[in-house]
Amino acid sequence: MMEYSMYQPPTNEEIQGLKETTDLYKSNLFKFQIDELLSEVSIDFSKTTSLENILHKLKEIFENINDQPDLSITDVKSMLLKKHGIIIPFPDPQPSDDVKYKFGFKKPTAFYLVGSYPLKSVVRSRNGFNVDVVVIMPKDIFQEKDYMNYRYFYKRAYYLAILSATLQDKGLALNVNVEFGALLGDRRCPIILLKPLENNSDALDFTIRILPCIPMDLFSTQRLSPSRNNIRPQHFQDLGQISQQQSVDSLPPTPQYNSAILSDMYCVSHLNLLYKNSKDCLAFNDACKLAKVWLHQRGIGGDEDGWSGFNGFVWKMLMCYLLHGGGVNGGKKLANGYSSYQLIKGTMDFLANHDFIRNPVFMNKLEESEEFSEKSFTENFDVVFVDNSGKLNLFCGMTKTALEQIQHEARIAMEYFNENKADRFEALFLQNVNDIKLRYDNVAKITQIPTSYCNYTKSEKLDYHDPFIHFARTVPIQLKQGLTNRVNLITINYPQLPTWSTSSEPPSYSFSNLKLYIGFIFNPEQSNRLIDYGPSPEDETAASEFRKLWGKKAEVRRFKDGSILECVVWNVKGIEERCLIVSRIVQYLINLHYGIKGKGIQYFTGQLNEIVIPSTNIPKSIYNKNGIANGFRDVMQAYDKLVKQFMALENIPLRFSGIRAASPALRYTSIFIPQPLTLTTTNISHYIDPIEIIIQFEHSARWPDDLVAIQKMKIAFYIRLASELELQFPGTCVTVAADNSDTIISEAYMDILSDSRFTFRCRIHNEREITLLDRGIKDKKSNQLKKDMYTKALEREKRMFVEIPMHTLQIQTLCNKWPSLSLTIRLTKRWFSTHLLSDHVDEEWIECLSSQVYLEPCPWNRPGSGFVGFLRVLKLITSWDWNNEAMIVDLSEENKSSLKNNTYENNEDIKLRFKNLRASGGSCKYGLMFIGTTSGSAWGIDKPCKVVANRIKDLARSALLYADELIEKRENSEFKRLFVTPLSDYDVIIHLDPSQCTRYYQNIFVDTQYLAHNKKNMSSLKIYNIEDDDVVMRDVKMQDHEENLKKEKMAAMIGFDPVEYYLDELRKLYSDVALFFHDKHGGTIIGVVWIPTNFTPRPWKASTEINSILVSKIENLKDQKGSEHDTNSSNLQDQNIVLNTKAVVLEIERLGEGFVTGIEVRK
Amino acid sequence: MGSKKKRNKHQQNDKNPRIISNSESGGDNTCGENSGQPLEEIPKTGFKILPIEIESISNQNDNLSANPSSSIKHHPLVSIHYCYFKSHDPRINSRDNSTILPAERTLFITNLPVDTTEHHIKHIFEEYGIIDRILFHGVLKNNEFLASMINTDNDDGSILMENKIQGKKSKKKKKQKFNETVENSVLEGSRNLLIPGSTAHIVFKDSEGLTNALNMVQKKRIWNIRDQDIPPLGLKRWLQEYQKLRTDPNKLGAQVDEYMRKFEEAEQEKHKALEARRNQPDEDGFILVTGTGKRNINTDGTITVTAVKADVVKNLKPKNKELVDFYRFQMREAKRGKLAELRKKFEDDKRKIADLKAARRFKPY
Repeated sequence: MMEYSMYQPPTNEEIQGLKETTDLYKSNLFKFQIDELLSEVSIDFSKTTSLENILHKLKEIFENINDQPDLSITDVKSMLLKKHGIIIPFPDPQPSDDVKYKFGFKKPTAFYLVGSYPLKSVVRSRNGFNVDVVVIMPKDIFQEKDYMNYRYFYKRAYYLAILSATLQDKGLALNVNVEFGALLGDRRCPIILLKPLENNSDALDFTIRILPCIPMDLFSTQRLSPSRNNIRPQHFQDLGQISQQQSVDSLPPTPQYNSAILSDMYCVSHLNLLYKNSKDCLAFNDACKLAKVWLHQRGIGGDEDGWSGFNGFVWKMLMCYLLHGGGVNGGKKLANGYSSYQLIKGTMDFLANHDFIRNPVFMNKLEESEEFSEKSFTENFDVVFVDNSGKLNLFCGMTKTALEQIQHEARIAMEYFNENKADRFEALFLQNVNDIKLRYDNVAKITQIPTSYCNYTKSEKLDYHDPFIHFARTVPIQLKQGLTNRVNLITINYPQLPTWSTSSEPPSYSFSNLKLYIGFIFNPEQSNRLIDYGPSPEDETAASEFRKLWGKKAEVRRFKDGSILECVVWNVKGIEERCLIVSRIVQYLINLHYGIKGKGIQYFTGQLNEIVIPSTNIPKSIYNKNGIANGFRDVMQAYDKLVKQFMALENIPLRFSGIRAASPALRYTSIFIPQPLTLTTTNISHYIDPIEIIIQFEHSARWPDDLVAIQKMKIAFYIRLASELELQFPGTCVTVAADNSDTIISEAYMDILSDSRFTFRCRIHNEREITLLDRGIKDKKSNQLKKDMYTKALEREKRMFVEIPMHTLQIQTLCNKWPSLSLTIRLTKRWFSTHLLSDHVDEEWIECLSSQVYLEPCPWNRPGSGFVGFLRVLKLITSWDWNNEAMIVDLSEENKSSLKNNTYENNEDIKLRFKNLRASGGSCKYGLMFIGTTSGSAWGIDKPCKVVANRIKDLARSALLYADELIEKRENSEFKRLFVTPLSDYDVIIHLDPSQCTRYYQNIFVDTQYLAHNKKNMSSLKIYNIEDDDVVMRDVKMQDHEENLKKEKMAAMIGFDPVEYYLDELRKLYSDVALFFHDKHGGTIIGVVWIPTNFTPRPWKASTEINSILVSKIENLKDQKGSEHDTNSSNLQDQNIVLNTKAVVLEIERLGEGFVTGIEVRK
Repeated sequence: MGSKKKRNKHQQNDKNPRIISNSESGGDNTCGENSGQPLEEIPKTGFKILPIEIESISNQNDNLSANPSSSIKHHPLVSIHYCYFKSHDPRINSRDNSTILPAERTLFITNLPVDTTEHHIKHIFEEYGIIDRILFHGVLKNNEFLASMINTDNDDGSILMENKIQGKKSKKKKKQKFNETVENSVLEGSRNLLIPGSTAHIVFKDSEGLTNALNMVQKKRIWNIRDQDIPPLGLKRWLQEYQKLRTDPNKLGAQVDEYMRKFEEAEQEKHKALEARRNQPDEDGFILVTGTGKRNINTDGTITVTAVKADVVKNLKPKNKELVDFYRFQMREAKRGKLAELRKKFEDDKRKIADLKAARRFKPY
């Protein structure tokens, strides 16, 4: 039936429908998603009756409003305050009380609905939606010269105050709350905001905004051209002084002021233009809606955006422009017949790639007018996009920095639109991009805005009265001068002015406790540069400029190539500090040029670095921090050296065919940077992390065809290699560790303490084993037991010898490519481990997860610092749909490089594997946090379990919330709290003796007193009969050397971690009974959670695999508290058993004898 | 428990493990309450309930309280562990021959603590009769990949089989918990652990011992005994294990050589046997054709040349030389196919959207 309908002859519409989507939209899927999204964000116009009612009443009120007589400023002030309790929202600078002109009020001449509501292109945002009402103020209350010296704005404010007074009086009928706000955050243009009161329980969440406007012909537009000055300083006390001798012509222009008046004049004409276009172009409104969602998600043009100067209205005007031009060779970029997808993509393309600075955009160019010439605009505005009148710059409020940010976002959007291999709809429209802690590589928070600094000159003050605004506009320019190409983007973020009640003083930016966030996106190749080169000192103007920028930091140096240059040098130790250069520059420059320091500025980047460096209190003999400056270079070099030694090794029966790294230390991802052991430091009491490597011999037919025999051969090889290594490379110590039982695969290895003082754990890989295991599984004669064991063994072998070395290579490559990935992974690992999850996730899993943030950074770009990388990993944990989707990590970046689609098939394989995994084992047993790689490995299959997976998500969620809080209010130092785990959820907590934990020095809150204890306790065991003093060697002679080496070899208990043994025992014994949680990096507690099924009574049996107690016995114990209904307990219940937790707790204690200091039973 | 000795120094010697402490001393404990009375029984099973008092080691060693951190931790200081026992029922396991577990003098005990050793058992049961031997079932294995676990032939593995049969009977989920039956809980000087709830057979020297044990009365029985012969648990055990892995290379080498020698001998034997069978007609006069199964491999170290494998050859197919767009029907089919594909994709996408919608994925905020 289905089959038949598939092959039915198609109708015309169907063909068209099927074709349309591929032509007009990116894909079917994309179109469907657009449709769904639009239906989600659109307003249901059938439900707007209450809104319409209010609008009608508003109109009525305004039509019946009474005229007011002309009054002086003092009269109007007191009249409004006394009669209505309203403070007139005059903009700063406040008008002086002795102004001679009078303030009058006449009822509005007209009343229009404007904005997106009447155009039906309105979308819901997080704060509902706005309905804009324009009230045209009558001409006769203004005078010809009112455009000057804020007179228009003062009168406008008075007019608004009268309107609000009327609305307040009639407010009851409207059932709304009346407030003042600033249009686009501009205090010159206050507006009235009407919000329905709470009790008005309508589904729609709207705000009516009343914008007073003036007719287009009120003022001479010539006077308001960009290059004109309309603020005479002599009229304002605080601006005084510059003026006296200056003529009007030489006064600085006030383009911002002028545009503010012009935009009030052209309001209605813009509405008409938009209306016409939306009639002509069918998909215009849908495209606008999509664009608005896109803007909202990026925080552009909303309430959170106090400064970009871009919003949905400007987007619409841009689309209008592109429908009539903007294409190649003067053609049209967009056409009326386009689909919404094509419209938004076309506009986005223009926005992303048009050079607005070099080619300002004019919807209408008044060629003949000198006042509104291109030159006049470009000289007075950063960015130019002139409206249909040819007189108003719609981008008047926008700075170059803001443009850069918008273009940056638009460019990312274009990438997503053009992406063929993945569906990016979610990143484009559904994800909230505007999260300050995740969006930028570094964030600086400025809480003290200076009121005066050298850039804020008197003339600047004319147009930007509020220093906050001026600071926000100029600080990125200053910083960019210093940071040059270290950063790709500097952004400013601050919210718009909050609304205020009509009876309170209007707020201003400088005095309203606003915080300014500066975001930085790095250029990863340059951000860690050590030297900033300046000009040659001979070029005096440039040199003095450079010195002015850098102050005392600037110095003249002679460089290797013989050149002598002005420069700034940043001294750093280690890679972690190198990542902080940008923060140092920013803090230095802001202090130098704006005098902001100390608590005035907080910079978020390096706060977490201390988490991955062992505490400074730790004795050098345990962890020698001297080498940290070199990062992973030392260990890499030691590894290379060892490989060379292996290759040069003589007198061995088989040659090596390959040596591969298989350890986090060799892929830049171990939490701590491995440090060489110094001779004196080797003592048994501290953990030495062995670095895993895999060696492989050339092919030989002489290996036996038997798994057990191969293991024995391997041991023989280890012994042989050990003696040859020690013989041929003096200074090397090798210990062979092997369990000589007959196993099919072995744990045997040798620990090499190389002559570069690093410890390597070396295992032999033999391909024959895998073949034999495979054969054993496929053999029809093998029984199930054998098959199971072989399957397990094969999995382990493959993981250890194939997947981990490959993974190491891949991660190594990625870390080299993106230096901050290393820190991201290390922080993430530390996070998992401090939250006692070490045993519940594989290190490789964490690495894949963290890499995903770099490989698939959308909707942001690739993280440029460990700080943001780490937070993004947490975000990924919380936002990924683990239950339904397999995370596929393309570690080898095959999808990008290869043209073939075979990796896609590979992806399908992984997806299938995930599906099968989820289906198997019943309810969500396996693959709860599944990650597959394109190279075929899969992680997160049997762990974490469901409880742990949920805990991981919860912890990540609360960590993100806490990070928000930290960035919002707290002090820097409290970042460490992200790494303190809550213990309230554990049933039992096992406390370990810190002085017996060999890894204790890695603990995040290490207490050094235990480290001293440690040594004593362990040596008192006298297992080795080695006195500490024997191990300390200074000025050793060569003869003694051998001897000492031997002792050292004995003493260095490489990889000995008692906690690991303990946990291993606990897990083997109690895996059905409890879950164990521990921080393997120096943790001193083990959290225990009982598995609840053990408390449901079950019938007694001879063998139960739990330590059982009869239910009746428990009640006996409970009797002390008060006997319960044990009289009516039937015979059957007498036979029921549950877990005997108390006895188990004591068993656990006995198992950890000499090591457990106490067990805390909490529930 | 080496260091226990040191800790014990100030404790009285009367805590000798062989002497069972007096029942009167445990008045406040449940297991001492009804002292003198016969043990309780689990109804309908015939199993007797044997309560054993277990003391926390930190309670025993007051010197630990010198450590300030331990004093704040509160946890049960004393607890009762319950074992269950009855006489061995030979019917349960027909494979057991009565010489291993003679019914008349074998006690079956279950739910043993994980750290049970023969010393513990003897401590509790030896007062009723001399114990001949103890068979522990469910000793935790350190390595789960022991070849012996799959290669065991049935000649001495009868008890091992019991485990397997039980496992199958109860359809237990097969877990990593590999266990085995050993006669002695202490092997090569290191301590073995039992999996929780494991069982043991205690064979008395004579049937009197069994009878006495079955008729034991309630009294305080304690678990914590100190005995130099019991290998330590905890830190010392782990140090031992660590050390055990790193034995003298010479000794290890000798062991390995010995194994390899035996292995090669066995291989030789096998080879010889195979050779012997080759081209020898069996009693029906048929000749078994055998191959060595080895293909010759030529290699210069990097490039390997070998004969092609049989299953690869099987899958080789002749190339399809047919034209696909020659006849009109072919074109028509192709078009129809394309349309169907388009429709299918359309439907697929629709379904995907429905899924996404169901997951409420279109809420942008």
